Amino acid sequence: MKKLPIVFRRIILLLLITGVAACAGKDKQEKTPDRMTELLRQEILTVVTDTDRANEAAKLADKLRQTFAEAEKQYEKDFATFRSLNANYNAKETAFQAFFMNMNTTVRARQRRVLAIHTKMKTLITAEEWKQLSDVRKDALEVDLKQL
Amino acid sequence: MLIATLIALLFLGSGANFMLDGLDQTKDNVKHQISDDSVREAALDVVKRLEDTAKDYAKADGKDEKALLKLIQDFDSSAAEVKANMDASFQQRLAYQKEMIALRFELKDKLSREQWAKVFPEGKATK
Repeated sequence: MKKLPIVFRRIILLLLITGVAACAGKDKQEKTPDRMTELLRQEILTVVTDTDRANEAAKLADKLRQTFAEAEKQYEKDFATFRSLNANYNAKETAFQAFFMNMNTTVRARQRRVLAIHTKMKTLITAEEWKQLSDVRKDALEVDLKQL
Repeated sequence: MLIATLIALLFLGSGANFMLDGLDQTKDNVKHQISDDSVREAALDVVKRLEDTAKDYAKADGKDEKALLKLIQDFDSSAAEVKANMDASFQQRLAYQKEMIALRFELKDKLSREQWAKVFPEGKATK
């Protein structure tokens, strides 16, 4: 069986940690970042009743989706570069250091963007709605378990 | 919680541990492509240390993931707390990368150019 790219394996691991995998599995759709961010957008539109705030928060979910797409593309590129570098018998240590420095700079920039989205999301969503977003998952999980 | 999962995933980023990917294939290639016993054993010893280092990192990284998820799930956690977790995780990533690069060059020292090409053939990506 073909191994899943590590980025997707990591998603599944995180989904298992949070229990989301169980609820997301009820529609049997593939748990790609695209699918999961769409699920998040839908959850926001359901839970946040104020239209303006809901739309703003949904836009942030779209930004997350875009960030995932960029991260995935970058991962493919980095993986290919690393593989090629590693296969090169003559590659110098400095070439690896430069490669990782570039990759880490990109990761740090992405982390800053996501931290900003996270902070902004919390200014748009109340503590109660944040909790409800969690409850949506729990409800879905209960429905899912009943279907077993 | 979905939102925490997505955010945590993006914080942690991809590619931090892709050096772990393909190590099984590397071990197989060393076992089957290197005919000289002493070279093969020496190379396998380094591959074992690569595996151990990668596994240790994956374990530590898993703990960071859980801690980060907890912070993100908590509405009252501050951006500074999230950033502190992120920074600590990033420092671990740097140390890990440094260690893996050193081991990669240790492995290279054990193999000739021809042997290296057999262990790391280009064009057969394992991801």
